[in-house]
Amino acid sequence: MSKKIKIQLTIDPELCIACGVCHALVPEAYTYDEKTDKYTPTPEYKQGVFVSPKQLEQIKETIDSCPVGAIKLKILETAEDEPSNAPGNQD
Amino acid sequence: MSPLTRLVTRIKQSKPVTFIVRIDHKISDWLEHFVRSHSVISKFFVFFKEITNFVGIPLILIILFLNLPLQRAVKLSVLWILILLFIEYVVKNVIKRKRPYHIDGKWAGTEKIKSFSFPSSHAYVAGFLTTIWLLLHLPAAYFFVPIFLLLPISRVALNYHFFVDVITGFVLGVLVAVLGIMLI
Repeated sequence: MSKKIKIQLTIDPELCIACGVCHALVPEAYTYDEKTDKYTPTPEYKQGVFVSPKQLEQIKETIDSCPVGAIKLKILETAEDEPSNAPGNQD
Repeated sequence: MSPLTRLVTRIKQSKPVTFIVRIDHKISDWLEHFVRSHSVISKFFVFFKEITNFVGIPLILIILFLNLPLQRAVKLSVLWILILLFIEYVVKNVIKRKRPYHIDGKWAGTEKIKSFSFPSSHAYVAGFLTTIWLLLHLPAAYFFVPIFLLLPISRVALNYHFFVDVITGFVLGVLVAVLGIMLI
Protein backbone atom coordinates (compact mmCIF):
# COMPACT_ATOMS: atom_id res chain seq x y z
CA MET A 1 0.00 0.00 0.00
CA SER A 2 1.48 3.32 -0.99
CA LYS A 3 0.36 6.87 -0.47
CA LYS A 4 -0.82 8.65 -3.60
CA ILE A 5 -1.64 12.29 -4.04
CA LYS A 6 -3.91 13.66 -6.73
CA ILE A 7 -2.51 16.86 -8.16
CA GLN A 8 -3.33 19.34 -10.89
CA LEU A 9 -0.84 21.62 -12.63
CA THR A 10 -1.33 24.91 -14.42
CA ILE A 11 1.13 27.23 -16.14
CA ASP A 12 0.37 30.92 -16.52
CA PRO A 13 0.88 31.54 -20.27
CA GLU A 14 1.43 35.26 -19.65
CA LEU A 15 4.44 34.50 -17.47
CA CYS A 16 5.99 31.45 -19.22
CA ILE A 17 9.14 32.35 -21.14
CA ALA A 18 9.51 28.84 -22.64
CA CYS A 19 12.92 28.23 -21.09
CA GLY A 20 12.07 24.55 -20.63
CA VAL A 21 13.52 23.91 -17.17
CA CYS A 22 10.23 22.30 -16.06
CA HIS A 23 10.32 19.88 -18.99
CA ALA A 24 14.01 19.12 -18.38
CA LEU A 25 13.30 18.19 -14.76
CA VAL A 26 10.03 16.23 -15.17
CA PRO A 27 9.47 15.53 -18.90
CA GLU A 28 6.29 13.50 -18.31
CA ALA A 29 4.52 16.45 -16.68
CA TYR A 30 5.20 19.26 -19.15
CA THR A 31 5.04 19.61 -22.89
CA TYR A 32 6.06 22.28 -25.36
CA ASP A 33 3.28 23.86 -27.38
CA GLU A 34 4.71 24.97 -30.71
CA LYS A 35 1.67 27.11 -31.55
CA THR A 36 1.97 29.33 -28.50
CA ASP A 37 5.72 28.87 -27.96
CA LYS A 38 5.02 28.08 -24.30
CA TYR A 39 5.23 25.05 -22.05
CA THR A 40 2.01 23.60 -20.67
CA PRO A 41 1.27 20.67 -18.37
CA THR A 42 0.52 17.43 -20.23
CA PRO A 43 -3.26 16.76 -20.52
CA GLU A 44 -3.28 14.28 -17.62
CA TYR A 45 -1.46 16.67 -15.29
CA LYS A 46 -3.81 19.44 -16.41
CA GLN A 47 -6.87 17.38 -15.52
CA GLY A 48 -5.53 15.81 -12.34
CA VAL A 49 -3.28 12.83 -11.79
CA PHE A 50 -2.24 10.59 -8.89
CA VAL A 51 1.47 10.81 -8.08
CA SER A 52 3.73 9.32 -5.43
CA PRO A 53 5.29 11.56 -2.74
CA LYS A 54 8.60 11.26 -4.61
CA GLN A 55 7.01 12.45 -7.85
CA LEU A 56 5.34 15.27 -5.94
CA GLU A 57 8.75 16.41 -4.68
CA GLN A 58 10.03 16.46 -8.29
CA ILE A 59 7.02 18.54 -9.33
CA LYS A 60 7.68 20.94 -6.45
CA GLU A 61 11.27 21.26 -7.67
CA THR A 62 10.00 22.39 -11.07
CA ILE A 63 7.85 25.03 -9.33
CA ASP A 64 10.87 26.34 -7.39
CA SER A 65 12.99 26.22 -10.54
CA CYS A 66 10.67 28.13 -12.83
CA PRO A 67 12.51 31.45 -13.20
CA VAL A 68 9.27 33.42 -13.47
CA GLY A 69 7.11 31.48 -11.00
CA ALA A 70 4.61 30.51 -13.69
CA ILE A 71 3.74 27.00 -12.44
CA LYS A 72 0.90 26.44 -9.99
CA LEU A 73 0.20 23.19 -8.14
CA LYS A 74 -3.15 22.21 -6.70
CA ILE A 75 -3.41 19.18 -4.42
CA LEU A 76 -6.83 17.66 -4.99
CA GLU A 77 -6.85 14.60 -2.70
CA THR A 78 -4.70 11.96 -1.07
CA ALA A 79 -5.29 8.22 -1.15
CA GLU A 80 -3.62 5.35 0.69
CA ASP A 81 -4.19 2.72 -1.97
CA GLU A 82 -2.97 3.00 -5.53
CA PRO A 83 -6.06 3.95 -7.51
CA SER A 84 -6.91 1.77 -10.49
CA ASN A 85 -7.41 4.76 -12.81
CA ALA A 86 -4.09 6.44 -12.21
CA PRO A 87 -2.97 8.10 -15.43
CA GLY A 88 0.71 8.91 -15.69
CA ASN A 89 1.58 6.82 -12.67
CA GLN A 90 5.12 5.77 -13.42
CA ASP A 91 6.42 4.34 -10.14
CA MET B 1 4.48 27.29 1.25
CA SER B 2 6.65 29.37 3.60
CA PRO B 3 6.29 33.18 3.66
CA LEU B 4 9.82 33.49 2.25
CA THR B 5 9.03 31.14 -0.67
CA ARG B 6 5.82 33.08 -1.29
CA LEU B 7 7.74 36.36 -1.34
CA VAL B 8 10.37 34.95 -3.75
CA THR B 9 7.60 33.64 -6.05
CA ARG B 10 5.87 37.04 -6.03
CA ILE B 11 9.13 38.77 -6.93
CA LYS B 12 9.75 36.23 -9.71
CA GLN B 13 6.26 36.87 -11.11
CA SER B 14 6.61 40.67 -11.11
CA LYS B 15 6.77 42.36 -14.51
CA PRO B 16 10.28 43.88 -14.18
CA VAL B 17 11.73 40.51 -13.12
CA THR B 18 10.03 38.52 -15.90
CA PHE B 19 11.23 41.15 -18.39
CA ILE B 20 14.83 40.92 -17.11
CA VAL B 21 14.71 37.09 -17.09
CA ARG B 22 13.46 37.06 -20.69
CA ILE B 23 16.28 39.36 -21.87
CA ASP B 24 18.78 37.51 -19.69
CA HIS B 25 17.96 34.17 -21.31
CA LYS B 26 18.33 35.71 -24.78
CA ILE B 27 21.76 37.24 -24.05
CA SER B 28 23.02 34.09 -22.31
CA ASP B 29 21.75 31.86 -25.14
CA TRP B 30 23.40 34.05 -27.75
CA LEU B 31 26.77 34.03 -25.96
CA GLU B 32 26.63 30.27 -25.33
CA HIS B 33 25.73 29.62 -28.97
CA PHE B 34 28.47 31.94 -30.24
CA VAL B 35 31.17 30.28 -28.13
CA ARG B 36 29.96 26.75 -28.88
CA SER B 37 30.10 27.42 -32.62
CA HIS B 38 33.73 28.62 -32.42
CA SER B 39 35.81 25.70 -31.15
CA VAL B 40 38.99 27.73 -30.55
CA ILE B 41 37.17 30.20 -28.29
CA SER B 42 35.35 27.33 -26.59
CA LYS B 43 38.62 25.48 -25.87
CA PHE B 44 40.19 28.69 -24.58
CA PHE B 45 37.36 29.24 -22.10
CA VAL B 46 37.55 25.63 -20.88
CA PHE B 47 41.31 26.01 -20.33
CA PHE B 48 40.73 29.38 -18.67
CA LYS B 49 38.11 27.87 -16.33
CA GLU B 50 40.46 25.08 -15.22
CA ILE B 51 43.19 27.57 -14.32
CA THR B 52 41.04 30.21 -12.63
CA ASN B 53 39.18 27.65 -10.50
CA PHE B 54 42.33 27.04 -8.47
CA VAL B 55 43.79 30.53 -8.48
CA GLY B 56 41.04 32.97 -7.35
CA ILE B 57 40.83 32.55 -3.57
CA PRO B 58 44.58 31.99 -2.87
CA LEU B 59 45.34 34.97 -5.11
CA ILE B 60 43.07 37.29 -3.10
CA LEU B 61 44.61 36.18 0.18
CA ILE B 62 48.17 36.63 -1.13
CA ILE B 63 47.35 40.12 -2.47
CA LEU B 64 45.71 41.25 0.77
CA PHE B 65 48.42 39.91 3.06
CA LEU B 66 51.28 41.24 0.92
CA ASN B 67 49.81 44.73 0.51
CA LEU B 68 48.07 45.57 3.77
CA PRO B 69 49.01 45.55 7.45
CA LEU B 70 48.35 42.13 8.98
CA GLN B 71 45.32 43.11 11.09
CA ARG B 72 43.63 44.94 8.20
CA ALA B 73 44.33 42.05 5.81
CA VAL B 74 42.79 39.55 8.24
CA LYS B 75 39.64 41.69 8.74
CA LEU B 76 39.20 42.24 5.01
CA SER B 77 39.72 38.52 4.28
CA VAL B 78 37.11 37.57 6.86
CA LEU B 79 34.65 40.09 5.39
CA TRP B 80 34.86 38.89 1.79
CA ILE B 81 34.92 35.21 2.74
CA LEU B 82 31.81 35.68 4.92
CA ILE B 83 30.01 37.39 2.04
CA LEU B 84 31.12 34.58 -0.30
CA LEU B 85 29.74 31.94 2.09
CA PHE B 86 26.53 33.97 2.46
CA ILE B 87 26.10 33.99 -1.32
CA GLU B 88 26.87 30.28 -1.64
CA TYR B 89 24.74 28.92 1.19
CA VAL B 90 21.99 31.49 1.74
CA VAL B 91 21.21 33.61 -1.31
CA LYS B 92 21.50 30.78 -3.85
CA ASN B 93 19.23 28.53 -1.78
CA VAL B 94 16.61 31.23 -1.36
CA ILE B 95 16.43 32.33 -4.99
CA LYS B 96 16.87 28.73 -6.26
CA ARG B 97 17.66 29.70 -9.82
CA LYS B 98 18.81 26.64 -11.72
CA ARG B 99 22.07 26.71 -13.64
CA PRO B 100 21.59 26.89 -17.39
CA TYR B 101 22.28 23.86 -19.52
CA HIS B 102 21.18 25.34 -22.75
CA ILE B 103 21.69 24.12 -26.25
CA ASP B 104 20.13 26.57 -28.70
CA GLY B 105 17.97 28.16 -26.06
CA LYS B 106 16.42 25.01 -24.57
CA TRP B 107 17.36 23.06 -21.49
CA ALA B 108 19.17 20.03 -22.80
CA GLY B 109 19.51 18.01 -19.64
CA THR B 110 19.41 18.06 -15.88
CA GLU B 111 22.98 17.13 -14.98
CA LYS B 112 24.20 20.66 -14.33
CA ILE B 113 20.93 22.14 -13.10
CA LYS B 114 21.07 20.35 -9.76
CA SER B 115 22.88 23.30 -8.23
CA PHE B 116 21.92 26.94 -8.08
CA SER B 117 23.06 29.81 -10.21
CA PHE B 118 22.17 33.25 -8.80
CA PRO B 119 24.45 35.10 -8.13
CA SER B 120 27.80 33.90 -9.47
CA SER B 121 30.50 33.39 -6.83
CA HIS B 122 33.19 33.40 -9.53
CA ALA B 123 32.01 36.82 -10.72
CA TYR B 124 31.97 38.00 -7.10
CA VAL B 125 35.63 36.97 -6.77
CA ALA B 126 36.41 38.64 -10.12
CA GLY B 127 34.72 41.90 -9.05
CA PHE B 128 36.56 41.86 -5.74
CA LEU B 129 39.93 41.17 -7.39
CA THR B 130 39.47 43.86 -10.05
CA THR B 131 38.59 46.49 -7.47
CA ILE B 132 41.33 45.52 -5.03
CA TRP B 133 43.88 45.53 -7.85
CA LEU B 134 42.84 49.01 -8.98
CA LEU B 135 42.32 50.56 -5.54
CA LEU B 136 45.60 49.29 -4.15
CA HIS B 137 47.46 50.25 -7.36
CA LEU B 138 48.92 46.77 -7.73
CA PRO B 139 51.45 46.13 -10.52
CA ALA B 140 50.62 44.88 -14.04
CA ALA B 141 46.96 45.93 -13.85
CA TYR B 142 46.83 46.02 -17.68
CA PHE B 143 47.59 42.28 -17.64
CA PHE B 144 45.53 41.07 -14.66
CA VAL B 145 42.37 43.21 -14.85
CA PRO B 146 41.36 41.93 -18.34
CA ILE B 147 41.81 38.38 -17.02
CA PHE B 148 39.48 39.13 -14.10
CA LEU B 149 36.96 40.64 -16.50
CA LEU B 150 37.10 37.54 -18.69
CA LEU B 151 36.15 35.32 -15.77
CA PRO B 152 32.45 36.34 -15.60
CA ILE B 153 32.16 36.13 -19.39
CA SER B 154 33.59 32.59 -19.33
CA ARG B 155 30.95 31.52 -16.78
CA VAL B 156 28.16 32.49 -19.20
CA ALA B 157 29.99 31.18 -22.25
CA LEU B 158 30.46 27.78 -20.64
CA ASN B 159 26.82 27.58 -19.54
CA TYR B 160 27.46 27.74 -15.81
CA HIS B 161 25.56 30.99 -15.28
CA PHE B 162 23.16 33.40 -16.85
CA PHE B 163 24.27 36.92 -17.73
CA VAL B 164 22.41 38.54 -14.80
CA ASP B 165 24.03 36.08 -12.35
CA VAL B 166 27.52 37.25 -13.27
CA ILE B 167 26.62 40.95 -13.39
CA THR B 168 25.12 40.71 -9.90
CA GLY B 169 28.06 38.70 -8.57
CA PHE B 170 30.58 41.14 -10.05
CA VAL B 171 28.79 44.21 -8.63
CA LEU B 172 28.64 42.54 -5.21
CA GLY B 173 32.38 41.88 -5.39
CA VAL B 174 33.07 45.51 -6.28
CA LEU B 175 30.84 46.81 -3.45
CA VAL B 176 32.41 44.53 -0.84
CA ALA B 177 35.91 45.53 -1.94
CA VAL B 178 35.13 49.28 -1.91
CA LEU B 179 33.32 49.13 1.43
CA GLY B 180 36.01 46.90 2.89
CA ILE B 181 38.85 49.21 1.86
CA MET B 182 36.93 52.30 3.05
CA LEU B 183 35.70 50.95 6.37
CA ILE B 184 38.42 48.56 7.50
